[in-house]
Amino acid sequence: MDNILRQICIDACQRELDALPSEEELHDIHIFSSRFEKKMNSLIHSGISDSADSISKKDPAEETASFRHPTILHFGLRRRNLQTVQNSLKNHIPRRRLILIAILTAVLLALCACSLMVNSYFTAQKHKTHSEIIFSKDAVSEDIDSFTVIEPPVPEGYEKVDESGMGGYYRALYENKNGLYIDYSQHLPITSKGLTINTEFGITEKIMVGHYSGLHFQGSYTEENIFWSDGYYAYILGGTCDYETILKIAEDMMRGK
Amino acid sequence: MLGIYLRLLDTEEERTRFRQLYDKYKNLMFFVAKGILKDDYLAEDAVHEAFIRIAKNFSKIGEISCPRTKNFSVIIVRNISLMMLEKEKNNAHEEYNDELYSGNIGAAPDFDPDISVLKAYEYETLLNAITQLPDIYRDTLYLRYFNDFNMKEIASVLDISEEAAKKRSQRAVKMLADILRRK
Repeated sequence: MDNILRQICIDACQRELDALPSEEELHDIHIFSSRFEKKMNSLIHSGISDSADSISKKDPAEETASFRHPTILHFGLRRRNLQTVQNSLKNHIPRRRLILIAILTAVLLALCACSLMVNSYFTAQKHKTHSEIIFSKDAVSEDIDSFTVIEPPVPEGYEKVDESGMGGYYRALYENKNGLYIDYSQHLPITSKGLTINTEFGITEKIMVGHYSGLHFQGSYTEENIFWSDGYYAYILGGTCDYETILKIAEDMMRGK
Repeated sequence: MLGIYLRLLDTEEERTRFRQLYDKYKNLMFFVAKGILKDDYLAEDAVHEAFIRIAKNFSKIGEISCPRTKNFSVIIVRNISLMMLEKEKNNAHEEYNDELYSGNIGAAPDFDPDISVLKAYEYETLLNAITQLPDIYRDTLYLRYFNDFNMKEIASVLDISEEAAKKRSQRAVKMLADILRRK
């Protein structure tokens, strides 16, 4: 009987394909926009910046979010204002005291910068339907042989129902008796490749997982996901359980790092 | 199912083949997407998204110019367009939602549908009945039998869980039997 179903499907499918317009008929059906062509070139050649930049200018919904290592804090004064302040200080404060103030200010600024420093090992470029992750050269581990699986500390009640992995990649699926699941994957942050995340279902926002920067996005209408990298590996943790649970698992993984 | 994948077009050969596929099917895929979405901008987005998914599943493609690859491309863009349409309408059909957007469904046994009911009907009747199936169910059968994909591969192509793919296949056969009984 399976053969009958197979043959019906093959014939029905072939009929449907035959009913579609031919290549010649479709030749002038549509002139693709330059936006589309750029995105496709980006996909084919694995280059990303041209496409991302041009799109973000056209569509405010598509924005580029950059994370660099270390995060640069910009304490800016306009040049004119800065000169005015310097002149004022020169006129009213003795030189030695001025030097002391300058040193103290520098130390203060450095302390502020250190306290706010974030370990970030990727750049994320957000498009309408997906985000592209490019790992920085500071991501240190590209050696497949050195790949060590780090399992997430999932809450009680969840059991591993599936796992797979090869060549710098590991994935595990956990489920509880209520049908909620946690989907975890661990990747080598190969700088030449990067990752593409489907973010069409939800806004990507920057988050912190311990000291490491990451992204929060939705994998579907019911699935929360986070992505982060500690420089050695890139992690994606998601599932149908609540966001707080997922974030807590991730933070527990990074505790002590 | 996590919406993430490694960029797969690593070699020049893969990029060349992908470019061939793109040149050959982009108009057809646009035609299919536009037919569903009725909007050029959205249809382009659907085609782009479809090519991303094709890149993800590029290892499943053999010859570029063959009915299987054509079917594969059409089904992917149709699937994505339908999802986009649902999202646009924002009034998701419950049955659709269950399978398209959520991996959170009950366990399905292995694909073993009761197809004995098909024996009682004329071949042409069966063919017509297949065409009456909703796209998402018909496509699952086409991928199974026309493209010879297993459940894991179907799940990957449709970006759903393996459980959902199995369930969808079973439901397709059940719906087919219902259509035939009504005749």
